[in-house]
Amino acid sequence: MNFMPKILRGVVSYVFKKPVTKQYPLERVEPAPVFRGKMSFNPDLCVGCGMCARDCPTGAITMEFYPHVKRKMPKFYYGLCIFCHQCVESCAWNAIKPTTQFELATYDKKQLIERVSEQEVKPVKPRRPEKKLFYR
Amino acid sequence: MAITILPFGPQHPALAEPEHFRFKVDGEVIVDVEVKIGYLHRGMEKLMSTKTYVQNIYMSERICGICNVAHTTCYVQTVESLAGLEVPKRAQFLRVVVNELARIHSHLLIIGLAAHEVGFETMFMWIWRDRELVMRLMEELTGNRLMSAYNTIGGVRRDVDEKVISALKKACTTLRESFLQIRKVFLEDPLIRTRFVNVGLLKSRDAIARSAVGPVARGSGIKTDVRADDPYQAYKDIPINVVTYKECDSWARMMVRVDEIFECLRLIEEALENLPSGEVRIPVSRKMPEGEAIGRVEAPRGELLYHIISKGGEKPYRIKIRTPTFSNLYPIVATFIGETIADIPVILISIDPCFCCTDRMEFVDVNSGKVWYMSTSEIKRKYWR
Ligand code: SF4
Ligand code: SF4
Repeated sequence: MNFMPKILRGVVSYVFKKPVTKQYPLERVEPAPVFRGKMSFNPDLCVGCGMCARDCPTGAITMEFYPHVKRKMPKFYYGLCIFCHQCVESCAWNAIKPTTQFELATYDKKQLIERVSEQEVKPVKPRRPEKKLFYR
Repeated sequence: MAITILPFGPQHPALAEPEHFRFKVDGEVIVDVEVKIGYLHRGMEKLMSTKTYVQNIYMSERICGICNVAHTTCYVQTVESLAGLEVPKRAQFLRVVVNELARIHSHLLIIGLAAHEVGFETMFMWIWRDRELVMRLMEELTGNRLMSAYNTIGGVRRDVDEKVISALKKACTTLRESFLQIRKVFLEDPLIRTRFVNVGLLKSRDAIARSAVGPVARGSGIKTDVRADDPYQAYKDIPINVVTYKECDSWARMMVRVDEIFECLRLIEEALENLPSGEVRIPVSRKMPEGEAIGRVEAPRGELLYHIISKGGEKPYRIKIRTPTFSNLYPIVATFIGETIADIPVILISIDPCFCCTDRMEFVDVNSGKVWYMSTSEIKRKYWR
């Protein structure tokens, strides 16, 4: 039983420490900078190749046709997304960028659909950036 | 006295995992036990053959949350051997680091739960405090606390930098110190000893005959560990010492896990020390050649096996998974006989059950006990789009 004094010392020391619980909405806890959060999508860079939708394991990305520019754009539904960031990796045009945003709780499921509006989609063709792709 | 049937689970406060057991008891003593697996059947194997190899990485990760790293390692390893790919050395070392980190996390979880199960709440809190440290490290290394999504076909998805390496090394020292304390408690504490020692005896002979794997077999004195017997990834370069205990009871099975944590810490430190430089990932094709491959890894609960059949193309034809709890359930069922009802949770905890891995095959109606089979087209019509 010679470990008991050490346990008791630990217990007593916790009495004088600040509680480890954080008062969350008032006191923010930032995730690690490499945390996989919500993605940010830039419609100006997207060519509508559909690789993101093809590799998404859950079907959170569906391609939607925009007639005025005659190309497809991804529509994200975060209710299905598992934040694996495979779409970030698969996009050869750097249109999907990772962020660390994690506060996605909502009362209305429709708010989890992220779709670019018609005005945001411009008919310019983006230039292919330098990016190493690992799945061919 | 008449024999009573005591239904236990699937939803039961003394059992963290949902599974149905039917104990036949004579007074307090268990005389027979029936296991009905299948409550958590999710049709993962079938679903995996409808998805591409890339998507299946994330599918295999979700078979079991706790051993997600072992599942992805095994899956990508099997696919790599199917395609004949050689993974860069740095990626292999990083895979060892993340595998061992996940193993520490899993062992801490079950040791904490074991302490909770016998009513030693202080210990439970202490162990879970250390587990929080491991989860933070996991987040810094892989990008998520639990679902790592770190392994990918042809390597790992992220490289480590100096900051993470030093954080990992520092945490190893802290964890070792606090774990020496916890090991002492497990060795000496009367509460732990009365509940665990000589409970659920599984003789070495029975363990071999009933094909126990992982810590259950090692707790019965059998020296078996895939990392040592059939080294994969960087375990070829970092030899491991297999921890065995001769006592054959629940206490020995828990002690194997406690001692394995020190081994894991050593492996992490050694892997980080000898981390080779270079690429962490090679480009691979989305299409895999025709063939078959088998991969084995040592998951925290024992040997995990994947068998993939490919007929060419982007999707596998069939994936078969054999998980450690499935192998460990039959050895452990025998050990219930002769024990009392109060020992059920302790014995179950000592095999570290994970039924979400196990339930992938049967169609069992748990309420009526009816077992039935369905044709593939019926399943498709009923469950798939
Ligand atoms: S986001 Fe990227 S991968 Fe998806 S359609 Fe646009 S360019 Fe293609
Ligand atoms: S993060 Fe994963 S699940 Fe979410 S949209 Fe991208 S690929 Fe799909």
